Amino acid sequence: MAKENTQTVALDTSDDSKVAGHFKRNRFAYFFGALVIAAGTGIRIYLDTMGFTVGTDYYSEEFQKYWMPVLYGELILLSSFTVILSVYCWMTRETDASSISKELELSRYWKLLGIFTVMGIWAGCVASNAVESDAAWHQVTIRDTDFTPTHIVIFYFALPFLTAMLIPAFIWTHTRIPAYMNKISVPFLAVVCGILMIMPNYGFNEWGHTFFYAEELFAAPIHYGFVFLGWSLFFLVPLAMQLIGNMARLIAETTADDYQPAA
Amino acid sequence: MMKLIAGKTGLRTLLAGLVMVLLAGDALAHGERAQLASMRMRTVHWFDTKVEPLNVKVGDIVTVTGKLVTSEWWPKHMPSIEETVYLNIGVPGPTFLRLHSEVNGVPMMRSTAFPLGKVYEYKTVLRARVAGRYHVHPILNVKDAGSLVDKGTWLEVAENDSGAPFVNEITTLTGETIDLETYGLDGVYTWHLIWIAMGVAYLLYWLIRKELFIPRFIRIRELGSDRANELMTKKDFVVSSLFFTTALALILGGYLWAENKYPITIPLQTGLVEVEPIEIPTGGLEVVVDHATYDLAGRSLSMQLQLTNNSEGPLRIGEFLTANIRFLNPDVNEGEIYEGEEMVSKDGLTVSVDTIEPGQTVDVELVASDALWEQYRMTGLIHDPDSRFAGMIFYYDENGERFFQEVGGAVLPNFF
Amino acid sequence: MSEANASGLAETEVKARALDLKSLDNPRAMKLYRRFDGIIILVLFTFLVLGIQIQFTLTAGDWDYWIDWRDRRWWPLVAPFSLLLFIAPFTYGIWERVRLPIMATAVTTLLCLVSWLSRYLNFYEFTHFPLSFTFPSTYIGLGILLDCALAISRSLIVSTLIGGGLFGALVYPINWSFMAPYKVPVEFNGMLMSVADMMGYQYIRTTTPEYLRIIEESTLRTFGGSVTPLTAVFSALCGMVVYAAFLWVGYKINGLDKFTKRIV
Repeated sequence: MAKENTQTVALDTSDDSKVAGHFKRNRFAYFFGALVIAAGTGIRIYLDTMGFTVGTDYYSEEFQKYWMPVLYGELILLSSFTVILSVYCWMTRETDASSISKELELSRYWKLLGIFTVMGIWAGCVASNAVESDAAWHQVTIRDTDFTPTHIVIFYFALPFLTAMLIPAFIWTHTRIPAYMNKISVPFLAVVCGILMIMPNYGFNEWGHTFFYAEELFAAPIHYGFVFLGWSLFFLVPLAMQLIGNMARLIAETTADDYQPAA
Repeated sequence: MMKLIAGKTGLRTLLAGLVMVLLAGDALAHGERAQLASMRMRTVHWFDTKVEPLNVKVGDIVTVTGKLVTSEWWPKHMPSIEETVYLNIGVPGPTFLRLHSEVNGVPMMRSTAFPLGKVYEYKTVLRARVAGRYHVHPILNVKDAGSLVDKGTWLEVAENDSGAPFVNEITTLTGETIDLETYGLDGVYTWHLIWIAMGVAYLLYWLIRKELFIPRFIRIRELGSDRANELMTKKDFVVSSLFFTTALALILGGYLWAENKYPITIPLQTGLVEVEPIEIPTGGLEVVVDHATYDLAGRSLSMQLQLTNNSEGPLRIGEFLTANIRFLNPDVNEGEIYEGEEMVSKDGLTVSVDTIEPGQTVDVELVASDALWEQYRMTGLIHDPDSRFAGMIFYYDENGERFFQEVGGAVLPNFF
Repeated sequence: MSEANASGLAETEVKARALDLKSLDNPRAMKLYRRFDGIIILVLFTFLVLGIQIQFTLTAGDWDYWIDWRDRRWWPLVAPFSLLLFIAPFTYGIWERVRLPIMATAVTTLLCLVSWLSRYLNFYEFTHFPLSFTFPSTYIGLGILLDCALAISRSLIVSTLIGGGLFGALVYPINWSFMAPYKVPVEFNGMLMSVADMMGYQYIRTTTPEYLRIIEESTLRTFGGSVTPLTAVFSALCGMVVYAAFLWVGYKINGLDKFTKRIV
């Protein structure tokens, strides 16, 4: 990236109007945010349409035809998304922190915030759509197998997708931003691990359901695993404080009157 | 996002149409096929399940009636129906309203308890609420065990002619006639809007300011934690006090206002109701199960029974019922099949002795055989941790009167 | 500056901090800070929405979904317990580092907004329940009381005692303004039921039978026969205790804004 360009991005010294500048600056968040909203809306419409019509019996041909391919598709898509992006971020890692200019570093922080914005938009979609769809589903249908339409949406797509974004973002941050290079941010790691652990925790949930087979008390202790893992979001505050401290320093330095950009 | 959601109706209609076209055959179950085979065979025997009428419009009445016998072979690992049970109905959400339900003539608004080995006659009256095609299953929810499901019957609900919105009116004890579909919502919306406005206003007060996260972070770091409170201004104090007082006043004012408007209120009602069970009518046939085998490849259950006829007339075995599957003996040709009834094998039962004469004791082989075993995943019997079976034998006297009796015992698989 | 020196900071750090402070007078820096604020609010609030939705659904959700679960003994206890537990660690970090008493109001307001959207999409559209049966409760006023207690007293301990207590105690009164009509009596088949019970009976829930409700059952009444004030007092105590306990969790977690050399 050319230095002048970097400086424009990092410090927003472009000549664009206020609105145009805003969209240009945040095009990453707008583009990918729109993309995840579109994906979420699509899968929601599919759930609404195909949930009660062909989704109530795992052992039916219809279920195998209309829901299982969705599950396999999700698993393939998300695992390849995570692996390819993570491997790419790792393989293209930078090791020399001193070669990264302050402007470039700051622009990468803005990009990280863009990534977090996309994840946040997805988190909002999951919260408003997916979480209680499973509640509503289980309270009106008889528990069948783990592969109910709402599980296929929330457990095998909605929440893993958050992990699928978090892991590459974690690697990217730790290989691109000098403050994070050659060390590991504890709160960031806690957030990633907590959300990641939700997937193995399905095992606890389903194992628990083999005891009281089909009743759906949402406040049941077998669900507390998810609650506990959700607490990993508490670590967002210290993570935000890390970002605040680092970005404040960079902004203060690069906007100072006597600041000389590195040659 | 809201725009996208609003725009989905058209696509949904398209997809729904696609589904309707694709769904030619109906073999859908609703969860029961995932249940253990032994659980379905040894808990509740449902019979004479009748849903009528099968084609209705929104607002019409549907009646579900039937009988059930609680199994004496109830699995020990399952919490018993003798503790707490609730008569329910399996439809996807409140597509129907439940207007009335009863067991042995006792209204069933609440939960009850059923002793084992007894007969219960139930009736549920529904009112169609949402148009669609539904598989209606009677259900018993057993506390800590889950839903025990009868077989389903397909029911078609068409839109009503007027297209008027569905209304569900009741009269309260205070003399008011209310529509439960929308009752109380004006108050709910108003109060929620007030509180959301308060919450948003409070957040905006704190978040719209010249110096927020980074500047406050820098200043607090500089001041140190002992002096950090210097960031809180007098204005913050005054505004917070105002919000505090307003919130408290609204909470208490709203409470008193509601108390005044609805002076007569009661707590939620709960508790068990009692139902007198009916004894199984004895028809004079004594049944001893010698042994039973399950033929995996042949999809059949064979039972070696010793039958003694203690009655005064000849008896003929007409039907074997287990896990909601009816195996009928074509030679006897008794037993009504209801309109829309599923899981019936019309010639699924072979009985080695046709008629058991009075006073006679005979060894009889009963073979219940049909592809339904496979379709309803009863082949899973082999994977159960407690390999035993139970079912109901229906037999008839010379006048065609029906009697029934539960049989059960250990079952061995036959692999070849 | 002198304090910074006294706390044993390196000379470079002291200089950098001075520069940080100086940047607050620099309009170019302030413009970027404000941009950061906007993004961080969006990110923090959207993740908060997910966090509180998971937490509340799986601990107090049953009581919040159905009007025939909102009783006098369990719901006013479980709901504030679940909320305060989630609010406290965020409050600690945001208060300690940036002195903003907003997290209780933010969490309760966001929960209310997302619950409405979710009830509409999932309970009304997806599974056909009327909103009169499945509308969410509100806790926003309680969040405001808790935050204002902190803003006024400027003390986490005082706000725990006053705000945490009020948060626990006032769950029933704040919702009673719109919940009272659902507790009006009805006669059905010769039995007394409330309107809420009637809805629970009529609007079929296949796997949520009547007995599954964890609600008040008859037993010895103290405080002159009333249950609501009794629960309120106990709930206030629980509110204070759980809020204090999770402020401590927040204190521990917020101390972890560190780096480690390797994944242990």
